[in-house]
Amino acid sequence: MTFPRRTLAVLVLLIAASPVGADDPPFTIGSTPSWLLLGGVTTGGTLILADRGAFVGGEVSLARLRNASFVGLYADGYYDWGSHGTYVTGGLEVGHKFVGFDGGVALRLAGGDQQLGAAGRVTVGLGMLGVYARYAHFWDVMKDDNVIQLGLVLKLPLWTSGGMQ
Amino acid sequence: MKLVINGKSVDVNVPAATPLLWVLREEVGLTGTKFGCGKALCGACTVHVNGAPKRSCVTACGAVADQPITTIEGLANAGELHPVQQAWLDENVPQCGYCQAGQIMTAVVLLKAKPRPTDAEIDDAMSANLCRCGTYPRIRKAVHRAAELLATAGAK
Repeated sequence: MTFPRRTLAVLVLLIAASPVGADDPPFTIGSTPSWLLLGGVTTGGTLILADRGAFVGGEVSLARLRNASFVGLYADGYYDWGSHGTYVTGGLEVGHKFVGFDGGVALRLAGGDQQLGAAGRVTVGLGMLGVYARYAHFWDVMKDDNVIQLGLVLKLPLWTSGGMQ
Repeated sequence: MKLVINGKSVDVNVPAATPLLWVLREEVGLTGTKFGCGKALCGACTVHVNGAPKRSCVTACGAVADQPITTIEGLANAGELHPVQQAWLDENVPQCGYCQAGQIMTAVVLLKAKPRPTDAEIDDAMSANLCRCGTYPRIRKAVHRAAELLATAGAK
């Protein structure tokens, strides 16, 4: 009969030590699941390309926030003084806390030509500003182009569904 | 749309999905609430809605219409600082100060829920608010100091 008593004692101790209700946080904070539209400006420099130069443009994204993670769509467009052309990229974005990844299609319009490519980017949030590195690959008839850009992005929340559900 | 901010009723003419942060700062002129990351990650924009902490950058103003909203400007009572604000001064917490409004708003709610928080409870609750200056040790001291001030005020 000793075994059942020991088992009972262990069960009582386990229940007493159960975290349910005992260590609940005093309150919760952060984002409830919500949609967020962000828009802002982006700038930086093209480092690897025959025509290196600075670029300036704008960016928008529509993200679904949940706790400290987000997933959504983004698009940006910017003029690059190195290639004397305009870049447009767009695709999916995902992120957790202050690190985000995005990528998709890229289009370069320069010198009357259009080049289609693919782009990927990693962004680290530093308070208001995000610092990013982007790689883009453009296919061409004669020669493919690889582009690496470093930049800054400042996006503000413009529209939110937070608390509306 | 009617918002109740710091005990006063305010009429604002903005779309319901406008982030509360911009309504407070741009429409009402309460600039103590700061824009930080814009994604509810840093806590600089924390305000109270119905006494609970909310990230105003991802809270639609239409969702909090007619609910009591408290900003950092509404903590002091008749010119007397809230004990948490006083503790922040006593312990010289701010460095650049940018995040401190959000830190204070979170600390107020923490102390309502846990009048005598342990270090671990403070770290747990306040870790939702980021400070790039690294004032966390002073924040912890100030929360303990505020707990003492609140206990003293409650005993009187």
